[in-house]
Amino acid sequence: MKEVESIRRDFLREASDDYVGLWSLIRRIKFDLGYNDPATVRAVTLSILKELLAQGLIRAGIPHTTGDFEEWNLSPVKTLQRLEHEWDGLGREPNIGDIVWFTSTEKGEKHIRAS
Amino acid sequence: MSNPQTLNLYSYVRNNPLKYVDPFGHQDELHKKKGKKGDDATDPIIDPSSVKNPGISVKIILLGPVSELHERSSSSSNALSMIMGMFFSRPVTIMSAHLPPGSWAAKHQLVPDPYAAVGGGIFEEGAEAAGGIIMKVFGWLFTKEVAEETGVHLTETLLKPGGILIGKAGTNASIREVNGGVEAAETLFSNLTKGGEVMTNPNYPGTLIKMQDGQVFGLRTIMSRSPGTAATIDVNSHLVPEISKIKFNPGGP
Repeated sequence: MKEVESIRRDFLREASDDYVGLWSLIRRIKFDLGYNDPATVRAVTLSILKELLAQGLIRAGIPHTTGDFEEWNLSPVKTLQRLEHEWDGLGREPNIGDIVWFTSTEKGEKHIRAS
Repeated sequence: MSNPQTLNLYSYVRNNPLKYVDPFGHQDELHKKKGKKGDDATDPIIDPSSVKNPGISVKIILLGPVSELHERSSSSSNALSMIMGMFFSRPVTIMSAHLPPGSWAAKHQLVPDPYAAVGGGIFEEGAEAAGGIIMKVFGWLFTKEVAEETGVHLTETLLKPGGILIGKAGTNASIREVNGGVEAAETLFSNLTKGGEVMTNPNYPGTLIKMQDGQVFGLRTIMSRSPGTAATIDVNSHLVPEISKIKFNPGGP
C-alpha cells in the first residue's frame, strides 16, 4: 500500500504532464491508500492540496477545449475554501470534471526535476 | 471408438457445430452453458434468423482463457472459420482480443496487440452480427451481456485484457499510455461507453459519459499538456480502479 507522500509526489508529477482533476486525486487516495470513509478521503485530499498549494507547486483552475487553462487566481487559503464550498454544494464525491483541475507551476516542475 | 465420424480428419465436431465444440481441435464436447437452470445442452444453439444486419461479415473474437487459446491449433481455427462462414453465408473472421505478443494468435498474425482488436471495431460489428450466439458455439466471452453473465465485465475485458492493464505505465502506473491517435481513442471510448448517458459538465473539456453502474468515462481530444498525446480517456471505474487515464500517443508510448 502506498503512503500519502507517494500519492502527493505522483499527483505533482502527473500535474506536470497533464491537467489533473480533483476526482483523480480522490481516486488515488481511495484505491492506493485504501481509505473509504468519505470524511477521511476528503481530509486527506485537502491536506495534500493544501501543502502543494501553499508551497506554490500547483495552481487550480479549469481547462478548456481550446487548451487554455482558466486559473482561479486565488490564494491557497481561498482556493481551498472555494473547493470545499463547491464540494459541499455538490453533495457527493467529486467525479470526472467536477469542481476543479490542477496543473503544476514552474516551481512545481523544478521541484519534480530536483527530486 | 464410439463414433466412426471421429475418424474423419476433415470433419469438424462430427459435422455438427451446432451441438458440439472442439476448442483444441482434438475432440468434441457438448456445449454447456454455465449457471442457467434448465438450459439443456441439446437445445438449438444457433438460429441464423436471429443474426442482425445480415449484409455484414461476422467477426468472432476469442476472449477465452489465454492458456486455452495458446493451445489452439491454426487448423482448428480455420475449420471454425470455414464452417461458421458457410453457416452464416458470409465471411467469418476469427480474431483474438487478449493475446499478448508471442501468443498463438500473434504468431498466426491474427491480432498481435490486445488493443488492435478494440481498434478494429470488432465489438460493435460482432455484437450486432452475432450477439450471444458465438458464446454458445465456442463457450468464450463475446458480447457485453455474455461478459456480465459470466462475471467478466466489458470494462475489464477492454482495459485489463487477460488480467493485464492495457498500455504502458505513464508518470505513474494508473496512467496508461498506448500507441494510437484520436480515432483509436474514440473507438475505445465508444466501446467502453455503450449504453451510457452523456453528462453535461462545463468543467470537462470533452465528452463525458456515465454508465448505469456508476462508472464514468471522459474523452478529451484537444486539451492536454502532453505534446505527444493526441487524446486522453479519463477513467473512473470501480471495475478497473487501477487506471485513471489512458493517453493515446500516435508515435507510441
